Amino acid sequence: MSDLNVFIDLSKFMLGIPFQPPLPPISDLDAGLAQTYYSRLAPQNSQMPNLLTVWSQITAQPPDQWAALFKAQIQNNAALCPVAQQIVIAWYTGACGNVPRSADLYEQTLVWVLAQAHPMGVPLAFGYWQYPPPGANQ
Amino acid sequence: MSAQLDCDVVIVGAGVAGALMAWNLGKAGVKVIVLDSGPGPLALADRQTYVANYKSSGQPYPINPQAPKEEDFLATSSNYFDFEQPPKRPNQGKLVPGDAVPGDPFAAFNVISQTIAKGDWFQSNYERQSGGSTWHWLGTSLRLLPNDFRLASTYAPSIGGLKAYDWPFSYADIEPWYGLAEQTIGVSGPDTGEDYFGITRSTNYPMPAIPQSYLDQQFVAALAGQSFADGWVNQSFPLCVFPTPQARNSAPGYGGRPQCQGSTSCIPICPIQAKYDATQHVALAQQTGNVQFRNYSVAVQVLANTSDPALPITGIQYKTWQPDSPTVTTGTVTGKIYVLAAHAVENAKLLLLSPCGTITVANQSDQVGRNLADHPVSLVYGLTDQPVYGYRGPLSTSGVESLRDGAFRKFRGAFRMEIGNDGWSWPTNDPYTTPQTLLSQGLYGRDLATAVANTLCRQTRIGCLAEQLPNPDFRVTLSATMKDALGIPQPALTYGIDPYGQCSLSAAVAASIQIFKRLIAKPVVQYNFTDWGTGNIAVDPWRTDSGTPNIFVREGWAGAGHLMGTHRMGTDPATSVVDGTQKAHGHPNLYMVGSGNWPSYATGNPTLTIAALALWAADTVRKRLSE
Repeated sequence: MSDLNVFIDLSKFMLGIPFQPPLPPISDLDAGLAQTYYSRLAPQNSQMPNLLTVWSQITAQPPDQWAALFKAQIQNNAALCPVAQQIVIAWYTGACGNVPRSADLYEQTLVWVLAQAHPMGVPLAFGYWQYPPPGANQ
Repeated sequence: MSAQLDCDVVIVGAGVAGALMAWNLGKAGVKVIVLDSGPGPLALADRQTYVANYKSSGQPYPINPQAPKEEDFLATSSNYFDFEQPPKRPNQGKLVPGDAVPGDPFAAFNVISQTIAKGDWFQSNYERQSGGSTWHWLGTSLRLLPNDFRLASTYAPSIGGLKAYDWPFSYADIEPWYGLAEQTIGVSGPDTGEDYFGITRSTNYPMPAIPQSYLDQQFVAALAGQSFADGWVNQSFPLCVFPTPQARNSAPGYGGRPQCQGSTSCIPICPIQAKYDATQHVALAQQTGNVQFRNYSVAVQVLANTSDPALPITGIQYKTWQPDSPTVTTGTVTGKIYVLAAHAVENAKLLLLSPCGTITVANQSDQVGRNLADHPVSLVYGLTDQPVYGYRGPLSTSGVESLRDGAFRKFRGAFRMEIGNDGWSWPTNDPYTTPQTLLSQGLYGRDLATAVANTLCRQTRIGCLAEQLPNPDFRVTLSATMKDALGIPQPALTYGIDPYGQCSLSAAVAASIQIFKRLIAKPVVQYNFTDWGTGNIAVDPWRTDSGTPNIFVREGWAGAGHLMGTHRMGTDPATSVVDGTQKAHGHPNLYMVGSGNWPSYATGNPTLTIAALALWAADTVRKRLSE
């Protein structure tokens, strides 16, 4: 598996993709976005290769062990945890470590999906705000 | 027009007041020259560039290299403030019970320490480009109340050595101009239900009201029949949620603007110009053929070559440059009448830079630069039990207006409550902060996503605009040490929270918590303060409830961007700078417009009143020129 594919695989695990109701449904991550985030995060994180290697080793184990292994080997690893967190924040907010969010990523971040809002600064339609979001649990 | 003069009227500043005057005079055939420090109308096609800047950094407006530190700075970073401030910001928190104003029945809700009451940073800012701060205003277009114009004679507040001043005219006098202003800037508002506190209307709003948000509707339901008990006067006042009149389009086409598309970024920029901004009247002024805008031109002196202040102003000297060129030249422009429309800080700075005999221009009263005020804002934000779905629609579509007047104003300032549709973006920079916070708590995967979703859709905030009394010690002076890139002394600001304003904020926090308790079954209140040494938010423990907090109070205050009071109106030349026609006492041909004229500050967002008074002043000037 390529580094990018491992990056996507790890991202999906850390984000909980696919989202299912009651979360707003998301079936998969966008490969182009993944490429962007990976290309921005990898050069500034010397531990990125190690992180991906560890994740590849974890996924060689039965899936029911992944959560525990993730916690033991990544979340509790002082070198790898910050890189993992940067990946999550990139998907949530578009900010990639020391590379600020760029305008083209702004609308594709997870915060807007999970807030059941549209991105601030992006026009939608007159009056929609008087109703709850489509499909919202009231 | 006299052959020796460059024009009939010189206006300094192309914000809402200057642009409205220029347009109004220009269409009447008056020759006008407008000096503006920022880029001109041609650059305004760059709105989408600004929007892209906003998406990437949150800050739309580029820095103007010729005037660094003098652009629009909506950043929370204090590094961007363009005025001299106390070198170290005092902590806003770690309050103790003794910090409250003695006798305040809401002392338990006090958010102002004795330190910052005496002196704090001024937290509002302004923008230097054609259109001025209307680029990033919210659009709220409330009229002031009849009693706002007669605070002194109605309530006679006298607190902490300060007192109120009446305006030199009444609500009835300004009412037609309010109507004209609503038509001119295009306000959407309700035609019924707004007759509180004696507001009368001779005209309808030009567009129907903007719909109240789903979030607002939860407030309306929760507050039905509720009232706020005020211990100052042992009276209860209803908590009524009103749809906010707003200068954004509910109907397509009015003013050439599109219908609001709910972009939820009115501050700092509307991406489609559905919200009024003064670039609209800059363009209309240009179309009259009678108005010339001189951009990248900063006024540096009002010329009064006389020791006799009764003689006319003879010109405005300014510095000007071209973009991408280091060369700065000095020019002078002359006219029959001069209008300062550069807002409360820059108008005062310009006057203080302008000698007139042994004093400075228009300063026989020594009030120029004094009485600097804002509407200090209390921020209380909560996690409601049920989703309210913020981050949707105009930033605010409703407010509680029913506490803007009452007998309590003898003892404490009034306040208006703005209900935010913007989640916690103001108090915590969300939606970006919550994912980081939950992630650092160890959450990942579905658990993280669920927690983020559950938090963001329940985030709500109430910002209350508090009323201050004029304090002559809160003021604009000229910095002795700091100059801008043009070599002009920067304004130095001294500001704090007076007891009247402090008690207004205490009551506002009490009312805000009361409202949140209607939306949260098991309320747990936490008081936060900002440690300015580290920039971190910390918990003030002594009055914070135990348990997981769901109502948060930000100690200290936030700026509303409402710069007021530095050249106040009045009938007495000994205590005011301009008269009721907005003409400087003593100078026959010098006018000032904008909220620097406010003798008292009330609680309504000032732009509609600025617009009404600018239209009134334009009418006055036009009539004088035709005499």
